Amino acid sequence: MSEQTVILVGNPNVGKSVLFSKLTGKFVVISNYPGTTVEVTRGEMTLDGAKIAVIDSPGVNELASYTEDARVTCDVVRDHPEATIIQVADAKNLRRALLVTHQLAKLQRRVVLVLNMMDELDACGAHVDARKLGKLLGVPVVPTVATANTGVHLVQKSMGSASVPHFGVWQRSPEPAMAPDRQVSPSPAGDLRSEEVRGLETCAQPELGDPLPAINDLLAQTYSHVRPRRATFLQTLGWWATHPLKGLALVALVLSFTFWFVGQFGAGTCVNFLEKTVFGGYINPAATRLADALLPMNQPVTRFVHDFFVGPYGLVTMALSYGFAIVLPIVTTFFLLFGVLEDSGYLPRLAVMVNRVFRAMGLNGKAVLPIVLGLGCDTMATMTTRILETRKERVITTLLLALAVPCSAQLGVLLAMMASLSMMAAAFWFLLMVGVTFLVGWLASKLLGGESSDFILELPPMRRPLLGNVAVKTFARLEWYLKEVIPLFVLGTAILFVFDKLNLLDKIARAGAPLVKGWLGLPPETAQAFLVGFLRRDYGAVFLLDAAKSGALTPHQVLVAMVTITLFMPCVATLFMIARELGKKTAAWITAFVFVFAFLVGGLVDKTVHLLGF
Amino acid sequence: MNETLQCPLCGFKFEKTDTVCTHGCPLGKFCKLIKCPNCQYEFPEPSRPLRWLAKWFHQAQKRAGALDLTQVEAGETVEFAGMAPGAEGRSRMLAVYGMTAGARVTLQQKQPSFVVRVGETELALEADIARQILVRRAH
Repeated sequence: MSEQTVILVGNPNVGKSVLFSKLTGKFVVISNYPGTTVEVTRGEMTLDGAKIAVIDSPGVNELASYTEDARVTCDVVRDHPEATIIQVADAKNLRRALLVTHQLAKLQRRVVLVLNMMDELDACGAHVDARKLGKLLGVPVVPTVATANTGVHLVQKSMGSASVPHFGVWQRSPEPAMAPDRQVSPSPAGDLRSEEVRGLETCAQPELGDPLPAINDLLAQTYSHVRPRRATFLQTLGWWATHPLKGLALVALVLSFTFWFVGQFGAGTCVNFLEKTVFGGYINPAATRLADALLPMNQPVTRFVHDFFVGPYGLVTMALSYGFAIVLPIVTTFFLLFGVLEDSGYLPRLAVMVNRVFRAMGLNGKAVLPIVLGLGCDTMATMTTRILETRKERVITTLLLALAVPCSAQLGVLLAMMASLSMMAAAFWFLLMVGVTFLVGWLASKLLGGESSDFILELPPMRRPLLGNVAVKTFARLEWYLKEVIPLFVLGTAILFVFDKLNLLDKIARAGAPLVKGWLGLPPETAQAFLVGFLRRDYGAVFLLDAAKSGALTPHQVLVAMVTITLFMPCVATLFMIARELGKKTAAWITAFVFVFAFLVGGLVDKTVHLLGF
Repeated sequence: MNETLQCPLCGFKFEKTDTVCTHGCPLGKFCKLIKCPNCQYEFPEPSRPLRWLAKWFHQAQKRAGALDLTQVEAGETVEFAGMAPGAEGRSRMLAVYGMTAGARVTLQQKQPSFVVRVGETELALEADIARQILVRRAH
């Protein structure tokens, strides 16, 4: 690999990913909370005809691997000893950025310091003398507003003049520049790994107090506060969001708006229109007519193909209409709202509200981030558990995600199913899910060994979400949805179609009867819903929704079916992700537990409701 | 249950079983030192009298006028003085957010969790940590 490499490094939530996407033109998910990026993203840019590899890394406050995501950054910095580092800094939080700069200086890395969010610095009435800072540090310092593309081209230009930063204290070092890298780079990576990690982790630790005089001196010379700050509306909103009473009111407001927007508008109005008018009125009849004309029903082969497309388990009539008419509008409305919430900076404030409750489950407030993300997609959320510090916390959070947090697609379908229930039954479902979450979390925290970590979480400033970013993010997530989910829907339908043709569905219904009918008290035909539920639980939920709508289920049965399918494993993709993050053994345990537990609780609900006589 | 320890140097928390030294050391299990698996720093296991002494010092320091963050009123701005004895390991975790000796810290709220502002950084903490943060009232 002879090509040049640059790595974007910096504190969390300073805009590394924004700069990355501006430099490379590649889309990456950008949000307003620390920990959006938990993996490295690679891209490419062209500078003076030469191709340069650009790597975006998760944010770190110091180059030490306390959490999984910080480890990712440490590894990528270590693995590219010759790469130029573009250190992205939040201009408002210069002191914290300089601590990282100091560590990079100790590692003798060539650095370009980017002072991002200059607009916010202005807004809070402060000023940084970038030129002077550059002179004192001996590195190029580039002020930018990456979201507005201001100064990005200057970053590219200054890459050539990147150099190792000088700190007052540090200048006395007799070591020649680049020497440590030269020592490390030719050796086989495997052998020296632990040595290098140690070097990276400890290089700045024994004398963390050390850089402070130098940094304070730098700040005194370059940073000035011009006018006193006055609280803006967004700041006040941020304070409300963590206030004991106003914060709760805001939670209620956000929840009820979500219910209205996703549950009523998305899962109600939009789904009705697409399902009844577009698919029911135009697409399905047209496809059926076309198939009738092209594929006569009197020959077995053409009949088989005919049914494959428009039969009761047809590609168009079932897989596509479920995927596009029912699930798509729900996930679209959810992702839109979710993008707005992400960019506003509200989500980390939620962690402040729930920290104490989460403590009982062996977690801390930080775990609310992956859990809320799980309402979007459990697979992505499983990866985000990396921001948690201990394995115990990661295992518990992953278990709760797999068990009781419905993803957007499933949530929408469940909200639609709820329409056929009484208010009390819906509340019962909600409380049961919350109760199950706490019970399982509490038990897991007692049974699993290991430590929980301290709750220290940075709260990003509240910002007005940029419509463009929300729209782009929603589109990217929808594209992912279409690519990953629709094929699984098609696969699930194809399996059912083949089973139907081989007359296996009845047998499965009969085989599953003791469990489905005997234990859960549901009609035996719902066995197929649980069968496809193994593939994706939202797909299973759509089957149940269909059954509920057609009146095949009593309200009592709808409730039992909802509870059981909610507790199912989210989807095959989540299972693979858990295996990747926590290992195959843990994944197998979680899967086994989830399925047994889902049926157990479903059956208990059935018995209890019977007993109470509802 | 294994006892958990915290490295006094880097603040890394680990279980006692993780502290296996390199093979071949003649001292073997008679060695009373503990090695941090994160930074390799070796330290003697904190004994009961030592912990008691640390606690006593903590109280003495409080009497000498240093407050912990839980004793400060919401809305007040104070100066960060350091960590309570026994919790020095956490000072690294806070230093990276700009909470270093002499930094001005504004306590924004105490419930449901503590929220402090250091420079332009807003930080949420829980009461256990706030109790270990020693501050001085600015004059």
